[in-house]
Amino acid sequence: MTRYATIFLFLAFLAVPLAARAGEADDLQRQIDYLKQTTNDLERQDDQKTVNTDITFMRSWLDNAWTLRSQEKYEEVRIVLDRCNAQANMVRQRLVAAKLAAQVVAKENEVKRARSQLARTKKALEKAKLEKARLEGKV
Amino acid sequence: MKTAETGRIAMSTMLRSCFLSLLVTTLVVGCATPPKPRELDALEELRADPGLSAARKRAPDLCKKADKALAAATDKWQSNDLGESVNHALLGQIFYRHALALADQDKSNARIAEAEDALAVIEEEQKAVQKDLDDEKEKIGLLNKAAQQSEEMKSLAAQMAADKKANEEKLAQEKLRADTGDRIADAELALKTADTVDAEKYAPELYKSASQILAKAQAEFQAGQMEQAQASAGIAKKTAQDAAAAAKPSYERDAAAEAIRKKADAFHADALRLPGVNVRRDIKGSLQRVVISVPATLLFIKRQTVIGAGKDMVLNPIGELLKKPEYASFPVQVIGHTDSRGRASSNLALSAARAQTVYNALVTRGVEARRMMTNGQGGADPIADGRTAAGRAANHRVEIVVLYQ
Repeated sequence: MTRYATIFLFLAFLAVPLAARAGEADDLQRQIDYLKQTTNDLERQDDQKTVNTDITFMRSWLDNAWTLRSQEKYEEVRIVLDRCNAQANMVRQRLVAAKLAAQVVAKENEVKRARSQLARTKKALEKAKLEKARLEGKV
Repeated sequence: MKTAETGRIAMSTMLRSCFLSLLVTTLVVGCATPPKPRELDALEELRADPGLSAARKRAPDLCKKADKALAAATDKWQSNDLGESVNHALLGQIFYRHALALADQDKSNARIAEAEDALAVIEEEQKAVQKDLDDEKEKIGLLNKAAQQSEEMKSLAAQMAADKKANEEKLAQEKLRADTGDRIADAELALKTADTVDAEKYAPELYKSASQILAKAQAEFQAGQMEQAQASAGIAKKTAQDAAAAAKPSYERDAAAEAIRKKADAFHADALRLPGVNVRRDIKGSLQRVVISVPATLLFIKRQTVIGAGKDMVLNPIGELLKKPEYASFPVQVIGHTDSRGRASSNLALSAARAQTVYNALVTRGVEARRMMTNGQGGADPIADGRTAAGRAANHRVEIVVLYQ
């Protein structure tokens, strides 16, 4: 009985790390999938194609992570995934910045248009004053 | 020789040592530091970005992380761990760019706020200017309307002036026509007036001329030649007046004579109705007369000079006739006549006395004395044969003679 228990414990001792590694691989797999989904979402949001290169890099990094996971280089996978997470956050902020930049352009164009409209209105006012003066002289 | 050998050896030794030094250096350097990763170069370039100072203020944690990553990358590179160096360099780049993105966001937000402020100011000014413009346009509209009304008023005034002028011209024409008509009427009246004095008869030349000129004036009037018509009418009037003036004396004289003649006719007719008397009309020169002959036997007894009793009745109707107002202007002669027998002076006295008696009787009956005169002619004017008794009786008479021209 003691001998069987010892064997069992030995086998259990061997199985625990194996199970832990399998769980880590799955976890990394989920992370990779999540980040790939994130990449797709970010690409959809990038209607101005401002972060195209960053997304391309991210995809290649994720491919690399996948390869490393296949090679069971989990530590390296985590490093790459950390980078990908940071990249994703950076891309989000760049997208926001790009949108804001577009808003700036739109706003400044609006200001330009308003200035132009104001200039036209002032010109029309001057013209109207001249016309009024002419009519006052006539009447 | 020895020196040359020594020099050659020295030179060779020196060259050898130089070559060895170079080889050693190359090996040392080549083995000590591997080529710098591109990612590290890029990170260093990123760190030199002028915009990073703003990013450091905005996201100091990220920048610190990036700085650490840069240091780690450099360290790993220098330790020949290129994989780690690249990894750190990439992370550093990501942190820097993340920080730069946040700084860019802030900058964009600031620019948006600035643009919005500017827009608000511009919009406010635009509203004010637009309001001014609208006011001006409204005033222009009103002025245009006023100008249009002014033009319409001017046009209306011009139309009214034209109408007034046309009316005045029409009135002037009508007045001229009316005046001309009046003048022609005046000329016609003058010609009618001339007719009243029978100018055609008494001033034929002038009357004819006036008629012709009047006809001419009427023709000119019909032809619309008012001024000529007025002139002609004036001449016609003047000519007609001249004709009337010329005809008037003759007409009045003839008219008066005619009136007297008619009156005398009437008197004669009335006298014929007197009882017991003889009435005749005769002409002596320019004078005409109606003679009422009363036989002496009707008034006197024999050769008396007073009217016999009851015989004065015959004088009553004569007196009434002479008193009538229409005959009051006729002068009256009371003439006594006798026959031719006896002395003439005696007959003359008898006839004069009898004439006076009748005169007195007529005065008594109301005939004005100043109209009458008496005369005794004796037997000088017999009306019958004095050789017969009837003739002599007829010659004894008193004649009441009414004279007229």
